[in-house]
Amino acid sequence: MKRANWLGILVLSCAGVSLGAQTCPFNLDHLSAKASQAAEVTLDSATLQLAGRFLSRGKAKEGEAKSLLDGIKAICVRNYEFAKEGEYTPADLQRVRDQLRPPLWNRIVHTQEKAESAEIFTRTEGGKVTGFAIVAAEAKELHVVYIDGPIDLDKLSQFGGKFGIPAIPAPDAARKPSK
Amino acid sequence: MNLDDELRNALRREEPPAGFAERVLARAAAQAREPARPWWRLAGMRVASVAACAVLLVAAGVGYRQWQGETAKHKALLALGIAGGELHAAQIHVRHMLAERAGAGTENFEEENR
Repeated sequence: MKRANWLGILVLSCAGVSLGAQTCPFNLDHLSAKASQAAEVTLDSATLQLAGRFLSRGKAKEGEAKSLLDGIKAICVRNYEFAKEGEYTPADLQRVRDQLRPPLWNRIVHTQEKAESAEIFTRTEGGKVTGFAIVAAEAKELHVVYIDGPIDLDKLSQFGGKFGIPAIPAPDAARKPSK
Repeated sequence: MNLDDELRNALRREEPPAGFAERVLARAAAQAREPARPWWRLAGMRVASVAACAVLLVAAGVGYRQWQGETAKHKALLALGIAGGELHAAQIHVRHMLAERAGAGTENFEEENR
């Protein structure tokens, strides 16, 4: 009987792990192992539905979030900070990119400046955008965002900087163009 | 007085005070005459305690659900804020690069026509 109970717990744990893996389809273990600090936010479908019920359409910002979350199945945010430059290698970054390959994923934006880069990927299925990912790398930081489901990128961009989270300026956004 | 005498003295038989037996019997008869608690009163108390437990459980469940919802809401807002911030930064970067390229293009055009 005890053995059966343990077996049940094991099966449930495995199911939980596999569900977690489904929520975040990327394997970033190689980065989290090297990071000095890691922040991870994972929201599965059930949590997003619950969050949607608690977001009020009456409040402007929450209303925006509610409309953004419509149809979203999962959100994963991974932020890694590294103790020193060069802690993660271009090969580590390439392993992330390799998980976002065509034909499912398409890179729509790629900016690169010195050690800083930002890439935006979209997943297209049946002619519809069904997923979105950002990989932003800095010398000592790496950010990966994955959203499963259709999302309005313009609205999402406008959402940046709200709720006390400042809009992250581009590395040289403050630099004035030289005459 | 030795120990045997002390024990004998302590354990000696004593007669109850006068009327003791009558008083005990009278009290027992009085208790027997007291009416039993009505069944509905006992059942009511049970129902009330079960209802109180149920109300407590429901309140705890609702509170927990509320806490879960608020946590999920804050996590969703945070995740959207971070995702939006990253996207916004990338867009600014792209715009900046395009503006730089457009500026460089204009400079080349000016140089060529000088």
